[in-house]
Amino acid sequence: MNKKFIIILLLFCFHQAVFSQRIAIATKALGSVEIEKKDKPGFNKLKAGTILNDGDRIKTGSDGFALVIFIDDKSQLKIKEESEVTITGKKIASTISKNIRMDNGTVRAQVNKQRKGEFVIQSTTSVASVKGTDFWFIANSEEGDMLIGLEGIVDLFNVISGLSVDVTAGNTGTSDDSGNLDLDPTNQNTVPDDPSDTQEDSGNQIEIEFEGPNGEIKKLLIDIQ
Amino acid sequence: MLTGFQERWIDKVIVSIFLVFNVVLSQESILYHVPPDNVSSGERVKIIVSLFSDSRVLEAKLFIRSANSLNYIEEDFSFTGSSWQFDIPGDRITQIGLEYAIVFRLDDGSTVAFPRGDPLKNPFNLVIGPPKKRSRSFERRKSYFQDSKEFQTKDFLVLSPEPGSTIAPGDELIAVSFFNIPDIDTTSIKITIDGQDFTSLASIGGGIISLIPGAQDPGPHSIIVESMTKYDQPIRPLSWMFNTNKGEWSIMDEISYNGKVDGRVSSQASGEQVVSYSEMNGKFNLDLKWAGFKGTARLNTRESPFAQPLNRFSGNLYFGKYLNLFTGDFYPSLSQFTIDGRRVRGMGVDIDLKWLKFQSVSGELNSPIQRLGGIDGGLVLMSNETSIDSATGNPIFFLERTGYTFKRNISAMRFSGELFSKLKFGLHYLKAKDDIGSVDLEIDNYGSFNVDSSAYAGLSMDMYTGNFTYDEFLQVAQDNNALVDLADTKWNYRDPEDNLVVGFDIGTIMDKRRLDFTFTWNMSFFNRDIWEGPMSLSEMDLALDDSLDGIIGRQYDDNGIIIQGGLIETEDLPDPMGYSDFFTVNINMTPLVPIDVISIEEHPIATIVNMPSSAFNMKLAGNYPLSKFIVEYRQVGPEFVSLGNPFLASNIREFLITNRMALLDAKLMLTTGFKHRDNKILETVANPLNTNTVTMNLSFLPGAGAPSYVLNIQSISKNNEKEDLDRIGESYVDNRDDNRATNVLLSLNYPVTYRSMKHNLVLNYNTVMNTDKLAGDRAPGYFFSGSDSKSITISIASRFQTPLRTMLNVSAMDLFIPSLDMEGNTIKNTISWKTLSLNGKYALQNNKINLTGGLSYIRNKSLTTVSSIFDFRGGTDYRLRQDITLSFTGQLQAVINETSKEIKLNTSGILMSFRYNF
Repeated sequence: MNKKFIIILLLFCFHQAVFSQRIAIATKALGSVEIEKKDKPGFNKLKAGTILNDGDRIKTGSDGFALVIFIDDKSQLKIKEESEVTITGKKIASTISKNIRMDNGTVRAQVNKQRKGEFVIQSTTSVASVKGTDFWFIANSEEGDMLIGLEGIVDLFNVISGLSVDVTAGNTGTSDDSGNLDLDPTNQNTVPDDPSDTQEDSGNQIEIEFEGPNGEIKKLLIDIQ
Repeated sequence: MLTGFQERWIDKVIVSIFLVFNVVLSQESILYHVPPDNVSSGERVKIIVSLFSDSRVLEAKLFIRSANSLNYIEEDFSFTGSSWQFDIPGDRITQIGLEYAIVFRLDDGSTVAFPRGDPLKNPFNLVIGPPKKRSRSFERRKSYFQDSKEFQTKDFLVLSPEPGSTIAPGDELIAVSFFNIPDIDTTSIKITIDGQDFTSLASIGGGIISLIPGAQDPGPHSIIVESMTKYDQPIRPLSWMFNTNKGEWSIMDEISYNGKVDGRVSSQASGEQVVSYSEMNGKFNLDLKWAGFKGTARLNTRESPFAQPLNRFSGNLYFGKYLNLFTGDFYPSLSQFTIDGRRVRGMGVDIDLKWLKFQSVSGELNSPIQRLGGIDGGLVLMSNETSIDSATGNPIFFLERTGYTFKRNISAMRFSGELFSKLKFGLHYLKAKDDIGSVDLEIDNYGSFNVDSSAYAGLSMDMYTGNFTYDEFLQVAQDNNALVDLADTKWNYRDPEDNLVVGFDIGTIMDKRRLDFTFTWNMSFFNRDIWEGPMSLSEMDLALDDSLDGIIGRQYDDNGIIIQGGLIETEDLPDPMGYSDFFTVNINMTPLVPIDVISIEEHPIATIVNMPSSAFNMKLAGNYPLSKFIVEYRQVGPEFVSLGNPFLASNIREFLITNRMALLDAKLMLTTGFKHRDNKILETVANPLNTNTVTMNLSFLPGAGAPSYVLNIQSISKNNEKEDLDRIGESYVDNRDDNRATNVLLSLNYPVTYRSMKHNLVLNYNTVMNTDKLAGDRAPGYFFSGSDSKSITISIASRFQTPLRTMLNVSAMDLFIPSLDMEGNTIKNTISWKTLSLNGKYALQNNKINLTGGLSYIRNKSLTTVSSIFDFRGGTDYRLRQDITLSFTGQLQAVINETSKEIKLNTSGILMSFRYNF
């Protein structure tokens, strides 16, 4: 009986180690960004194109920035400098239930409205359960967390006091380790800059340059519908 | 005490009340405006006004302010060919509420306004609901699949690069998710870039394809992903394109810019009058990441040398969030008692270090205007002052400059800060002064002035009555051996003014920034006539106590014996001549003495608090998740004047308390408020006017796609504390005022989807009832002027499966205006408007062409007249390129006077516009 149990346990661990669930891909890694795979302790440099599995940790330095895209619904997680996040995801039916653990740092979540699974960001004091689509979450284990709603609604829950509040666009929810949970209009000065907004021109036009025999340049613009 | 400007406006408004009555009854000029409904916080609001009049519009002004604010911001309506419109930007539409008034000045000298009555004192209160909860779709890009019926459509997700995006060489990362295609045969997946097979380099599995193909050549690239199901059925290939840039460093990579240019030309014919208008706007933004520049310009054909400039130019150079430099036309806001959103043409500096802030403004509030158009626009003959020269015995005619506006210079500064996130403080001043030298005695063209017979009555002269130019009049005077004296200063048309406002504020922030207390105190010095400049110390001595004895305040009895010792010797005072640049001290200034020196001994605190030239404000604001509240007391003395804020209501004491509660996860908003206002600052006010306003607003917005409900009730009570009738001679006059106006607004918004057609049904019901609380105690024949109104509006906005959008609007409005019948009984005349309008929009060629059209029918029925107005309009928007749009709109309006059986074309107009974005 014990032998069977050990074999099953070993098989389970092997499965977890070898067949960890692929949940996302890092499409950008700027500056100092490191990853610790769940099955391989120790941080290594994160490169764009790295596929993230359930339980992987990403750490950014003072100049770091990473863009992570989830493969089930294209939801995005932008991780700013001085952040450390653990990304877990469980496949449930045709979706991935996502849980981002972050005690300190700044992330922006742009969650696909069409999602079906959960999207939760959790810190030591707060849980942000996402009903909306776009928000910043700034975790600070000493001063408290801040959630800046950009679009849609996010349910911010303080685990100390059990209070919760819906943070809507234009408002900021703050949650601290004294159990306080507040909602105020967003002070625009507190909204972090999003490096990826200027890194890639995601236009809807293709521009093709043609050079004629006499060196003249002509451009063909293709509108993408 | 009102400023001259305020008095002029109030005069206009009083005239407007009279005219509105006349207009409504005689059908001369009708200002038709239905307040916008279903307004949500953060969304811009279009104010549309139609004017039915034979007169030309000289000024079309919109005055807006936040609810319970003291200051109006003055805006100009734009004429669109058939109506006057102004878009109030979304950032001004907040749940605090918005009050507005509309005032049109016509060339027949009349003024029409909305709301009726006293629009600036009782503006329309626009109910603003919470922000709408929107749904935003992240649509998956299925359209990149090639079209073939044999393929199975599957749910790929392009993760990287975004279709159409431009990326640097070497940064290419191809990522496609097939997480939602469980039956895909991963071994069949083939990925090509520009036709070249990269499958062997790709990582495929776990629901994702990942490929780093290496640096691609600059230019566009196409990606195609082909695959099969596990059952050997081909899946529709996925294809999309992206750009690789040249990868060279370019200054343009560091600079981003955008802007737009738009212009419009309109022409409206009304009777035989044709009014043309054109306008061009430009906007340019340059961003260097750490700094940037924003520039705007507006040129229009209403610009005139006879009026304040309507063209606008502005530039804003900024360095991060820390330094802003403004130039041209800008709208500084330093404090509510100095300048708060009024246009200044000049230079502004804002330094914001978060805990320390500095603001500076310098420039001009008014540009110099040398004269007005029309007769007596630049010169006026002082007919009653014609005299005979004692030396020569010849007549002398006196002419004076008129129609001018002085250049009004302004400089203002504010220094504020915050200490330890607990305490805050600020100091500010504003200085505004008319530049006498900005108006010239001699100008190229004075226009013409009228000479009537009284100017030469009793003189034997060969002169005639009529309009003369200056040169013509000189010639006529010379022919008659008369002299002409053109006064070189101290003209009567408008006196130059000087104003200084100083103030401070202190406050504290408590309970983790949830409670905010602010106290601000200000004092003004206003000189309504600085023609004479500053006075001397001797003149001051004489002005203040009627005796030239070198001591201010010393009083004597009839025998010259001192009965009051005096306050201060004049030699101890600074000479007003010495600080005339700072403020012009003379007999025309208020206050002459800021504090009542007699009452300060008995009531020192009350005397200081109630100084007529002071204004102060105490405000406690709470910002809690469930409740946001404000408790505020403010007082503006009757002599407080800020030329930077001419619409500031003076002579008021105001206490207000408001609370907004967010219930049911902020789906139910309950706003309650109470405001008391009176003018009992001075003890000499015999019959103060008290106004109590109670407001209750209930907004229930369960969420996107769900019906929403708004109920707003406002009650305004006024009384003047007068209990007895006034006796004039042998008769009694009832000047008692005790009335209540109740305004109820109910708004329902009901979205319906029926057979893929989406409709949004909005129902608004609004009543305004005025009640005279002393009605039972009045004598027969007493006239209570409060008019009532009732309106109901139903709007249905529909989106069909075809690219058709329609808006159907049906409304009925009754206005009940009281008047006295022949027996002296009060009766209410009903004026009713019934409106039916249908507007539509149809998109062609994938939104490249948008056709718009609409018709409206307004039936107006008053005591004497029944008339109908038919309005037809149509137009098209044509998107010539992605960045260029052309528009054309035409409109035709006909009026049928059913009473006189007349049909006439009221107005017709065309509007052409273009827009270019770059």
